[in-house]
Amino acid sequence: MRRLLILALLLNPLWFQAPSALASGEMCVDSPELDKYRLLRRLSLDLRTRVPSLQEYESLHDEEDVPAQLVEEWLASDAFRLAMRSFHASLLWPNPGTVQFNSTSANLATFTSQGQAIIDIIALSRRNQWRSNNQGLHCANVDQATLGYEADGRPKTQAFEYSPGQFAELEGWVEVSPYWDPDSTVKVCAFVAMEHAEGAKGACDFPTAASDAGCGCGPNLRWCYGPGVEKTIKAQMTEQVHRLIDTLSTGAGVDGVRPYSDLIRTSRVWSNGALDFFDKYLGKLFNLNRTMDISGPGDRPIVGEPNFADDTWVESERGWPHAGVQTLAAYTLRFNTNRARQNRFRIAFTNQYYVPPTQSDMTGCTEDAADITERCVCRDCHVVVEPLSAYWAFHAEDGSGPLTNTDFFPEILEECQLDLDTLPIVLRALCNRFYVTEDAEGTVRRGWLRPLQYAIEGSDNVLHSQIHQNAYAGPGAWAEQIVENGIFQQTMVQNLWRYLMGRDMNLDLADPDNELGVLAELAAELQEHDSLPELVRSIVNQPAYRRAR
Amino acid sequence: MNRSILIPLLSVLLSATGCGEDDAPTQTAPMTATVETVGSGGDLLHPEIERPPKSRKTKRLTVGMLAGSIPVVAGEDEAGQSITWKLGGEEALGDDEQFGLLDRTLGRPDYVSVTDELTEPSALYVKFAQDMARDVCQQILTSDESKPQAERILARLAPLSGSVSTEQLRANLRYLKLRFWGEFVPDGAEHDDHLKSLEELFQSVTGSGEGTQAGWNAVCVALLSSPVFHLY
Repeated sequence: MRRLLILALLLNPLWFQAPSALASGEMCVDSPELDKYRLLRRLSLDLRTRVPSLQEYESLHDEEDVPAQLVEEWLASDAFRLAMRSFHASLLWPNPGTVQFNSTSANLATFTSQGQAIIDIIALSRRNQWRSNNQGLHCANVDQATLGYEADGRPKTQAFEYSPGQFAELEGWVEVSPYWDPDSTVKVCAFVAMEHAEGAKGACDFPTAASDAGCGCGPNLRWCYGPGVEKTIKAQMTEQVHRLIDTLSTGAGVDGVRPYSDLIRTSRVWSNGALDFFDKYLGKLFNLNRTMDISGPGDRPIVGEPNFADDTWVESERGWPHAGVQTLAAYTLRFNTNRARQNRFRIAFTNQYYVPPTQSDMTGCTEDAADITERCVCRDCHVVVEPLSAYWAFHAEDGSGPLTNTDFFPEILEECQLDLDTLPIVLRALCNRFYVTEDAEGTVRRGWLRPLQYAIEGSDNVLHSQIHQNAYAGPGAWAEQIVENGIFQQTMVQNLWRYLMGRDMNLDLADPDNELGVLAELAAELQEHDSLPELVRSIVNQPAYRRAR
Repeated sequence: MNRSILIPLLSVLLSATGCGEDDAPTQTAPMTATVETVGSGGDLLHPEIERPPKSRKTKRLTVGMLAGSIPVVAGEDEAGQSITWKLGGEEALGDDEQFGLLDRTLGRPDYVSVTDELTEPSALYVKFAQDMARDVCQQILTSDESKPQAERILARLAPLSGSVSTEQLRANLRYLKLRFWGEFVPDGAEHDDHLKSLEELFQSVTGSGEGTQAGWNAVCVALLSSPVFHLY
């Protein structure tokens, strides 16, 4: 019976008719015009993502049409701000949800040890560095104050029976106010809670600290990820994108609506306590097998001591190589290679897609060229991809940090030109990931940062010269270019048209009903006023918006 | 296929396409045409006509729109909380930050595994639209029982229980159409098919001995599960 009901509903042709036609009975009328009530409903859903209230419908009884003033109010409303967040999310996919910032050696979790909930490092290997019994044991359920400390401040241990007849030297716990919840205290294994600035291998706020038994998680555990901290930071990164959109839609948080082209041009960036904390402490202890989030020149300044739990958002300035949404962490982590970054940017803001030719030109190329722009078939797309990817050359792939910190990322790292087997393991990993090495990239410019491998100033190879130019210009330069030449405006008109009209613009030259003129008009207007709400108003005022089929 | 079903079905199809025996050319039909001038006629070229501009495409509500619209039409429960679609006491729909139980099922994009929200009607959506209507309408009805008539959602212009006059029924259905669908039916309008259908639905339910509240519940489910509610 239930299946029959569903089938009957599916076969109901009303699901495939315009509601206005259903209402009016004008089943055969081509594109009937909506009455004021249905128009109000459409406007409300598109601009506020909800239907109007009964009172709003009733207020139309004495009006000839939906009052223009009402549309203005909705364009300034908080619901419109949220609707525009959704629209831009559909373009930018701002969810860094799948990445892992660091390994389990830097992640904390709550465990139960001898009946007591305590916080310890997740990775057994790091736990074993401290407790040296190869069992991955947690600390004992005893106050460390009763065990005491060595002269160098390390916790003293004591033999505990961790299973019948089995003993191990374990430390106890200490109470700590963790950075993620500073008003509370939690019991933390004493080795984990060590606050030493220096360990056996050097500084404890350095990437090597995760394998240094002399280092703990630092004051308030600031060098380790607490339970739920990574998820919180990712959510704030998404919110950071949304906050930028807010300044363009309703001007929330700032004085007045900002120019729409700020979306890809602005040097302003929002941050809060969690993001500042991430940049100052957590990102600095990167793991070469996880995301690279160390900050560098060009990043926003972090003033004072960040409070992870402070949800106050403030705006600050960034410098080169940052620009607009395309260098925010949620974007660079979501599109974690430079090729992916330029591809999403190219689709979202220039309306261009890579479509390989039906037949490749096989002349003047080889199938195994190290330079992919010279490799047969591959080059069909990559002669475009590579120069555009180069705009993000100074942004770490699989990371959110800029590669402008020359302490870590000089343009040329001479050690990477040596036999990698002779290098310490950390340096070898750094070379393999970020630098051109013989094994990975052939012999072209060994020791150079990978994104700069073919960035050759004044090269006879036009593409190499272009890659160099784009790499040192940054993604802001591409943004400037498409705003100036009007491609950004034409693309955003089409994007917003699709969102509001539910279909693409008709740009078929051969069709007398094409909408090329409307596109040109709206794009020219956008170039003039550079305002998102004005563009939305122009589209919902189009005659086509009032019709349905 | 069963032969007894196939033959009538084919007959219907043939008649629908105008290919039945009755329409076959007859032997007596004239084989040549004659031209008779009946007037001066018009220009062979049709004059310019103004065609309606291309329209916006009808879309289905997104999951976010559905989540945002249910409390607007359904109002508040007896505790003053917005009525939302619940599944086993939990929210069926959430928001962009906190998904409900069915957001993913209904296709709300998370921009990791799902990057586009398809807003075409689908079997899955229609099925859940029915579930939503039944759950939300029951909540509205329960809430209406504790409210004075002027604050009720379903039975604002007619009794919630007991007998309902035709005038009260029509007035209330006009109010419900505006509230749920955004369709205004002027007082006295006689030829509104939807109004008529809803009226018949109410009367058939109450007439079968189910009671007035069951009648309002059926009307509510019809309004909330209708394509008119879900398309715009």
